[in-house]
Amino acid sequence: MYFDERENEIDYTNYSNEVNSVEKNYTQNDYKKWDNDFKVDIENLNINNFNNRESVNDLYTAKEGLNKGNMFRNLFNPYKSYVYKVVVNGKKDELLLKIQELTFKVVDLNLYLDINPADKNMYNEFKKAVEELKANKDLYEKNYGPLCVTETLYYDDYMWSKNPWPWMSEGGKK
Amino acid sequence: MFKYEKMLEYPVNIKKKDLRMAKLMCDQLGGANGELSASLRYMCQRYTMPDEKGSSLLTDIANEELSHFEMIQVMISQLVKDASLEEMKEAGLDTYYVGHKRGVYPMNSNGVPYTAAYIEVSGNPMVDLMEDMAAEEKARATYENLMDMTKDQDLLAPLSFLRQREVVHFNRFKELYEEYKRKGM
Repeated sequence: MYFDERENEIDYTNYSNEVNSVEKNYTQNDYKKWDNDFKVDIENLNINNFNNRESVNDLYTAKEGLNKGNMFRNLFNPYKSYVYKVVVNGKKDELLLKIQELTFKVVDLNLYLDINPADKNMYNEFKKAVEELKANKDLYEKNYGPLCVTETLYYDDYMWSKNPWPWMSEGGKK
Repeated sequence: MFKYEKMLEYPVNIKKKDLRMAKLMCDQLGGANGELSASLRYMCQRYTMPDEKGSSLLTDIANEELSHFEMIQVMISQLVKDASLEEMKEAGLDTYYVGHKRGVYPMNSNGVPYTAAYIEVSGNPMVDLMEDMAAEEKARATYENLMDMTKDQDLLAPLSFLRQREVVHFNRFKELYEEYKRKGM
């Protein structure tokens, strides 16, 4: 109900009489119909909930992290418990997915380390992921062409433009 | 400087054409709370951060948002792939076709072109960080609304991923904000 206090001309002396007359004339169910000023569906309202921060070091694996979009268990906050799994077919795409998973781990730990540079445990975890990423990228570069223009040392020809671009996936029909 | 990696942050492979969703997704492309807004906002705000924590966090998140911008572009381009003129007309995209055909133009879902007026660079780290937190929350809510609009798993998966990234970014900005506050800024 909209109510402007500046135009407050309700006579409170009659207020209790009004309420009594309402109670006499309406049954319990009618009250519900009557009370429709506005509705906020609190149960389905999505609020970013802040879980405890004690277990910062509790990480998902790189694979699970990419599926969830989050490496940190304590920050994970799903919407309607939607969680999806990335599935790819073929050796090339599997290797690319592995690279994407490790890249994701590096990206997410990177953000954490930006503001917690003194966390040695996390830094070691970060270093391990970078090392594994490097090895996998090297393997990809050797077999399927460069992901970065400078990764070209295995080739005699210019390979950069020969790989499909990311939007030319199966869904993009190429 | 920036280097390009020939892959997406999260794989996108949409097989089903959905022009209506393509139109709605434009909100995250060139809308007020979209990924382009996010990337430019942090990229421009980083010069007045008080210490190396702020500079690096804003640079890295700006960088990640740019790859989200790319993901949204790829999703839109795959959603409109092979659409006939008749289908575009039906989905209300005839007005889009006139200017952009099947290209990917940064505008919001109502066709308003992207503008830098969507972002703020106040020069004050506390004000900027507060804006960044709000921006992440608005983007998160927009992703939830987009997820309500589709049942296509190929589309829901990347949307869910992108939404979760907003949650993480929000928390990182909040941590930095609280640290600066403790230091008396």
